[in-house]
Amino acid sequence: MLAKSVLESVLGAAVSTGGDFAEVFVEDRRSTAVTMVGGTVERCLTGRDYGIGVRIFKDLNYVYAYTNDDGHENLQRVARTAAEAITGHQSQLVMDLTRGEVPDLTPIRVYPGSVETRCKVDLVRRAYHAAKGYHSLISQVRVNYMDEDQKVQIANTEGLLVEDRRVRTRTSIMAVASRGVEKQTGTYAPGASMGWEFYDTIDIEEYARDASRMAHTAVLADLCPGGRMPVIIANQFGGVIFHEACGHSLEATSVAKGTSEFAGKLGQKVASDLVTAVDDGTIPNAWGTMNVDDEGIPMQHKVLIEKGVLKGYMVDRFNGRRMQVPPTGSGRRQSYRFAPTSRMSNTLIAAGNSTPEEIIASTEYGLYAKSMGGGSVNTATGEFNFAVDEAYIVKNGRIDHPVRGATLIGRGSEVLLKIDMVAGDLARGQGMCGSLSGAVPTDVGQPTIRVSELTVGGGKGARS
Amino acid sequence: MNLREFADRLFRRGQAEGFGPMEVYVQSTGQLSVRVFQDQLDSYSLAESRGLSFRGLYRDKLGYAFTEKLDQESIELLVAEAKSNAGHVESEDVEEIHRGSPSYPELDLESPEVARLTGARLIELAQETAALARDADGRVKFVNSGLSRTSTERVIINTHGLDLTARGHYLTGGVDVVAVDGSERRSGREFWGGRQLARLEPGVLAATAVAEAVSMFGASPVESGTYPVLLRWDVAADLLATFSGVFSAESVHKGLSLLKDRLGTQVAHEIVTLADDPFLPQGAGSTPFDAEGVATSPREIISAGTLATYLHNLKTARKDGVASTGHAFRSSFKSTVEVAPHNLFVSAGGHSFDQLVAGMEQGLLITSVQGLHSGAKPVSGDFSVGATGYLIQRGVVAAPVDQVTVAGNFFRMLLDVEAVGSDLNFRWSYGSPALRIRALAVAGK
Repeated sequence: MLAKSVLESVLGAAVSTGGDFAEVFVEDRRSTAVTMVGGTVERCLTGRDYGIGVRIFKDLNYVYAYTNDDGHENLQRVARTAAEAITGHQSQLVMDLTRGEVPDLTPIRVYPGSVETRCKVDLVRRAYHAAKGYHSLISQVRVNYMDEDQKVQIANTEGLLVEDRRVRTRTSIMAVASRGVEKQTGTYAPGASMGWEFYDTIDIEEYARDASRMAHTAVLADLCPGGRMPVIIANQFGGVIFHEACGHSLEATSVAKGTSEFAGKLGQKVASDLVTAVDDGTIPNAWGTMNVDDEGIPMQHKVLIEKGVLKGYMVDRFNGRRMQVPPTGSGRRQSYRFAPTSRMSNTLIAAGNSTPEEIIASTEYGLYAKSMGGGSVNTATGEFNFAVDEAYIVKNGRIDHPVRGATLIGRGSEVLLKIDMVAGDLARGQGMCGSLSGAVPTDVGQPTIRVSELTVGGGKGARS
Repeated sequence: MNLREFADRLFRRGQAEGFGPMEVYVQSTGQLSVRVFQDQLDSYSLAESRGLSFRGLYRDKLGYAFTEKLDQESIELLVAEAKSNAGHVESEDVEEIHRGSPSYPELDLESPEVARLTGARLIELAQETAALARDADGRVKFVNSGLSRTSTERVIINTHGLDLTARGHYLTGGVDVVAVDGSERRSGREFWGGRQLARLEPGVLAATAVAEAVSMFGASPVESGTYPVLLRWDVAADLLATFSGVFSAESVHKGLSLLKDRLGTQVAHEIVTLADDPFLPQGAGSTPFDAEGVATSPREIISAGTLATYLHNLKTARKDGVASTGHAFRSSFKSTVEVAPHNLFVSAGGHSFDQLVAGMEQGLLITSVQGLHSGAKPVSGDFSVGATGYLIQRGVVAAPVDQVTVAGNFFRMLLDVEAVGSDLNFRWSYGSPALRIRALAVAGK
C-alpha cells in the first residue's frame, strides 16, 4: 500500500489541470487456483496481481489510468498524463487524507494463505469422488477451487482514505453425463466472502452430487418444447431472473443516461404487488458483500422495489453526478484495471406467503425451472434471456418429466408484472456478473416464484 | 530491473532450487480508450500493464506462478510457489519447454499510424461516428460511441536459449444506439477491429447500428415451429466462437468433445471448410508463434466436410503422436497453457447474401442472438438462445422478428448447412460468411 504522502502528491498531480475530483485505487491480490480433471490434479496456480488506478472527474466526464509500476516518479507521470486529457485551471482542492473506519461485515477465521495447498487438493478430491460416484453415467468431472485475498487502498480528494481486505473462496464442480453419443453437463459452484472456514459450513460433497444429478437428469431428458407458458422458477440461483430482467436496468450505469427502460420511473408501479426486491451488500460474509465498495463507501441495504413500486437505483459516484443523487455504495470493479461503475452486490426478491408445493399444485401446465444457468440483458430494451440447466414439465399440478435445453426470454418490465405467486423459501446462489467494470462476485436470490407467462425456448419445436 | 536481467536471476534461482527447463512469458499492454455519449466526451482511459508468468519442470511436473511486480521479492516468491505447485500436480501427461521451431514467419502486425493516434484524434473520430448515427434517423435518441487503440508485446524466454518477441497494434471502434418511437425502444450496435486506420469507416459503423435499431420497430414473435434459417455472417461467427473449444485436442482427451474418434470422418456438409489462419494482416488473433513459442501456420481444420485435425499444443500433440499445430494459448499471463485457434473461420462459398435470401421460400434470417454464454453447451453441442431477425417470405426479407428463441445442436448444424455465402467477415478472431441451415427449432408465439 502507498504512503499517505505519496497518495497526496499523486492526487495533487491528478487535479493539476482542472479536475474537480480525483481518486487513487491500490490493489494487491494473491490468488490460488487448483483444477482437477478426471481425478488427477491438472494444475495448481498461484499469483499476485498488483496495480494502481487513478481516476479524475471533471464535470460529466472522467479520465482513468492504471499502471503496475508503483515507483513514485512513475505514479506522478501517470497521474499527470491522465490529467492532460482534462482542460481547465488547476483546482484548489485542499487535501487532508484522514484514515476512515471500515465496518467488518466479513470476519475471516482462517485466511486461505495459511492453509496448505494439500488441504485444498484434498477438498477438490472429495468433491470429485462424490460427483463421479453418483452414477455410472457420469463420465467426467472437473473441479475448480479458487481463493483470493485482495487488499485495497482507496484515497480521494475529498479526504477519504480507507483500506480493506477482501477474502473469498469458491469451488465449482462440473459433471458430465454420457449416454451413447449424448453428453450433458451439470454445474454447481458455492462460494462466500469467507476463508477456509467456509468449507466447514457447507457439505461440498452434497453440491458435487447435485451437479451430477443435474447432468444425469439432463442426459436422460427429452428436449424442451418451445412456446409461451407459465414458468415456475425455483429459489436460490433462480434469482438470476431478477438480476437480469431488472437488476442491471436499475444500475446508474444505464439509468443516469436515461437509456434504461426503468429510468425516470421512481415511485411508479413496475412489478406485481407481490414483488419486493433489495440489493443488500451488508449480508455478513455473503459472496457479493464487501465492507466498503471500490470507491471507499460502506455498502448498503437498498430497497429497489417495494410491493411493486420502484423505490431506488444502485448508484456510483460518477453517475451520481449526472443523476444528482448521492452514491449508494454500489461502485465496484473487477480489479485496478477497471474504472468502477454501479453494480449489484447481493440482489434478492423477498419471501412471500405461498409454498413451493402450492405453486406447483396450482399449475395446470408449465415449466418448472429448478436450476438456472446464466443470462444476459439488453438494458435499453429490457430484453433478457437465460438458460435453464435443470427443468421439468409440470402437468395437472404435478412435476411430470425432465426436459433439457430450455431457455427463457422476455422483457424485464413485462415479466415483473406477471409474477403471480411468491413462496417463502428465500435462498441465495453465487455468480460472477460481467459488465462495464469487469466480472464481480454477486449473489442472486429469491424464493420459488411463478411467472404467469414467459416464452420458453427449446430444441423440440412447438408444444403439440 | 529489466526483463532479461530479471529472467536471468530467476532462472539461476530456479536452478539452485532443482528446476530443470524453465520459461518466462511476459505480456505487456498499453491502451488508450475514449468513449463519447451523445456529443460529449464521457470517459478517457489510459492503461499500462505488464505481467510475468514463470513455469518450470520440477521432477517432471510443471509448476506455474505469476506476478505483476518485477522485484527481488517476486523472484523468491515465483520460484517457491512454482515448486510447491509442481509438487501437487498429479497428471501423468509429459510436459515440455519448447526448444524452438526451425523458422518463424515474418508478420507485420505493427501499425505506426495506429500507435500514433492521439487521444484528441480518437475523441474526434468517436464524436464523428456519434454525430453520423444521430443524424441518420430522427428516432435515434441515445448514442454511445467509443474507440480504443492497443499496443501489445509478448516475450518468451527460456533456458533452452529461446528468446522470442512479438509486437502488435490494434484499433477497435464501436457504436451503440437506442432509437425510440412512441413507447417502443430498439437498440442497435456495430463494432470493428483492425490495424489500418483507413478501414475504420465511421459512416458504415453509424449506418449499420442505426439500421439495426430502426428496422426492428414493429417487430413481433413468429409462431413456434421448425424453420429453415439463414444465419447472418456475424451470428454464424458468434456461434463458431462459442463452440470452437470442441476442436481442441485437450477437450477431446478429457472427454469434453463429441469429436473424439472422428478424425478423417465427415463432421460437416461437404460445402463447409473450416480454417485457421494466424497470418491474416487484420486478424485480431494473428501471431507468429503460439503461447509455447511454437511457430504458427495456416491450416484447415475441416476440409470439405471432413475433420482434418484437432488443434494441438505440445502436450496434446505428444499424447497423440503428432506434431504441435501451434495452438498453445494463454488467455493472459495469469492462466496456464491451453489450446485455442488464432483466427478461425468458415471459408467463403459462392453465393451472395441476396442470392441466399432469394433462394428461401420461407424462413428466418437471424441477425443477432443473445445468451450464448449460458444458452450454448459446448460439451453437448446444444444451444437454445434468444434471437432477433426477419421473416423471409418468397425470397424477400419481410417483417422484423423479436422475442423468439432458436435452438439446435452445433454438430447437427454443421451437417445441415445447405449453402455458404461469399460474404466472409470477421468478428475479432472468428469469421464466417452467412450460412443457410436446413432447419432449427424456433419458439415464439
